[in-house]
Amino acid sequence: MKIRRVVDFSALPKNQPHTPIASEASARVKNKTLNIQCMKEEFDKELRELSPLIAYLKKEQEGDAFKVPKFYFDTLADKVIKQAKKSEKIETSVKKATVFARLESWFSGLLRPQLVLGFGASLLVVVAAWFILSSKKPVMTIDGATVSAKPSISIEQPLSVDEPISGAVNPIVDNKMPNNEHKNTIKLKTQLDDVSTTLPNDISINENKEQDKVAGDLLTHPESGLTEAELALYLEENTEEIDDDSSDNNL
Amino acid sequence: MKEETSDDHILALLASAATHERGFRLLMSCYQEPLYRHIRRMVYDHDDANDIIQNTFIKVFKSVERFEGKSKLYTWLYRIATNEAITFLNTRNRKETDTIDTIENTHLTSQLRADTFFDGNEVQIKLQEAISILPDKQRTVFNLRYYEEMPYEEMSEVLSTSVGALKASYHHAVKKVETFFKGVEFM
Repeated sequence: MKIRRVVDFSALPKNQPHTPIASEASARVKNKTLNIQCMKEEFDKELRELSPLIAYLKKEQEGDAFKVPKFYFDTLADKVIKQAKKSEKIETSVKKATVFARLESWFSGLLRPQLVLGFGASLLVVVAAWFILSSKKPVMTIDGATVSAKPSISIEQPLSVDEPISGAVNPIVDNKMPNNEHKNTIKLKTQLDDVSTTLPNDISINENKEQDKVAGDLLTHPESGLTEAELALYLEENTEEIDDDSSDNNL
Repeated sequence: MKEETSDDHILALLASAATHERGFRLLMSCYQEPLYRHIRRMVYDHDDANDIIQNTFIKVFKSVERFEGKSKLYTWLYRIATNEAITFLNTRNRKETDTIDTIENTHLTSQLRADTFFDGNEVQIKLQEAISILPDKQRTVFNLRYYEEMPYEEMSEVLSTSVGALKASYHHAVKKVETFFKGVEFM
């Protein structure tokens, strides 16, 4: 014996969706359909106003006259994806080749004879300039003491004994100086009264005290008891020594 | 169960590398047919339309990451397809040495009659002839409005033209087609 279950569907609310999500979806679809209908009416109205003949033709000619081969749209996606991937691969390899070619041309450009010659010439100029500048150090010696000083009187303008001098005079001795100029400079120093007592600030004395002994004694003990004549004699003796040195150097 | 086909869902799939291909297939299944018909109405020949639609989707495949979402996805797709079709037509017109109007019309009529993928009657052939004499821009506007029933606002996004100019173009195009039909004697 079969038992038949009877379900009363009349209890369910009619024309009402069962869940809120379904109600939202159906409302959206309903709105969309309404919108499409409204737009279609608008298009038809516009066309009727513009040309009743063309509006009539549109209404009569339903459907698209342009056809496509069977299964055309089924295979189109595969074809497109295959081609897109292929062209992407080609583009990547072309990009790689382009980067390599650029680097190669850049390096080969560096080895161009004009560039190499230019680089060599500029290197030569730099080395020559360095060599010349490094050999022109103003170094002087007084009684064997090495003194580096900034000359405040140019050695290119030799001073004569008779020439009046104003301002402080630095003891400048240059081995490369011509002999006459050298002697003139030294003689001039001997005639100055305060040459032994004052020394310009820009002269630095070597710390080697043995070498600086003579000059140091004169400088640090101005009241050493030496008379002017003794001092002049002392300096004259030293001048001769320097003179001898410079002549030795010139030889 | 049928997959959701909203633009947001498609774009979400396209954004991830793992689901990119699936998203692209979904995009194609949604838009390939209307885009193909739009292109076909511009170039008439199936083989030409096939080349153009493939180029269009290849471009989409490569550049979909750059789609900013400022416009609707389908207007962006129509824009690419229309540009591809116009480029193709310009190239073809430059290659052809014959003058376009009269010779092209007779050529088009015979071409459509011989085309195995065209299944239209005499009125439809004449309508296509009438549309073919329109300038490129008017023809595109006419096709988008007459066949696709695209709103002017969206058409404005596709063609980068103001709504007013599009309305004027459509009105001129309809009048020209009407004039063509009034002077035609059907066999």
